[in-house]
Amino acid sequence: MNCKLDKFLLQDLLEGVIDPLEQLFVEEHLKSCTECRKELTELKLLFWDLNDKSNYDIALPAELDVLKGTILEKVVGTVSKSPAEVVIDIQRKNVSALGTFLNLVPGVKASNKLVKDGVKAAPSAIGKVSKSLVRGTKFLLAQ
Amino acid sequence: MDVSDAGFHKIYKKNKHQGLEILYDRYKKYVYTLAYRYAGNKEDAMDLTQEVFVSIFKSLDNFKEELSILPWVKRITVNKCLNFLRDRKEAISLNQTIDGDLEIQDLICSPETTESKVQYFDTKQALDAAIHKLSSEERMAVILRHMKGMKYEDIARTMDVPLGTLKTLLHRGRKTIKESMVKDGIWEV
Ligand SMILES: [Zn+2]
Repeated sequence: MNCKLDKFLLQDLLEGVIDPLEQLFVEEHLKSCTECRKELTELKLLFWDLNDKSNYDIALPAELDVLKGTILEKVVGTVSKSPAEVVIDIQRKNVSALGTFLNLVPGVKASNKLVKDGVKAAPSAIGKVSKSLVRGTKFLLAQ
Repeated sequence: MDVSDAGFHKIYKKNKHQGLEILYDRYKKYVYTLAYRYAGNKEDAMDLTQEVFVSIFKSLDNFKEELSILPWVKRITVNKCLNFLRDRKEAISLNQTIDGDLEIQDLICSPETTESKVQYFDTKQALDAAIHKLSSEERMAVILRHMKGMKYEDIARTMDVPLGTLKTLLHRGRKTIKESMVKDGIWEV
């Protein structure tokens, strides 16, 4: 930890938002400073992960579509529905009533959870292996 | 349905309800994913999504048609997010004075939540946790830059901060995330 170089310059170098003169200076400095080269390697790994869109993947919840109706009702008031929509609404209510009933039957939820856990447990070993492979590859590429 | 901004305004004038539905379907993913990454959980993300769209729908009548919609949606989303945590922080400190500090202290200090016991094996989880160590402004800057891939100038305009301030937010945010990832051993082979 002896190097006094402003480490934020290394971030700017990787982002391409560095002043051209500073860039020349930093590149020259990197040739002789192991501390900054290590920092740069870590920053490359960081940018790799930060820019990897799959790290931000999330499932859109089904409630998002329900929310649409709620908001529209709030803003434009009750909306007249077509007969088909009314029929679908009734069916939806029946299905959810059935769901409520199943929730009350002892054991149903617990057994569902067991099945889910069983399904989840199997591929986790495979997941771990492939993740460490990816990590290894990233490290090599960043060097 | 995929329609241009001009097409949208035409539909909206003819049928308000249909117009709003199109708008919601077009931007729900953008708004929800940003809110989720910022707030860190589904419940808050849903609340935020609702706040954002209510605000959009309510002010749509005053929206100038010659402007594009997306930057406006981004701005409202970012504003709602930044204010959301500010509001909640105030709410928490209020509860603290009423209920006494004990309960919250207990939560923070309980052995299950001390950092040394938490081990992350997954980059995604570690990144998630690291992003949540940032201040709300740092977090928003990092999300807009790296998750949404926005340009510096656009982010500065959307967050309403000078370019230099944005750079500082990004510098500090990335530094904290990097330190957290190193500590979690994410990049060790
Ligand atoms: Zn150096």
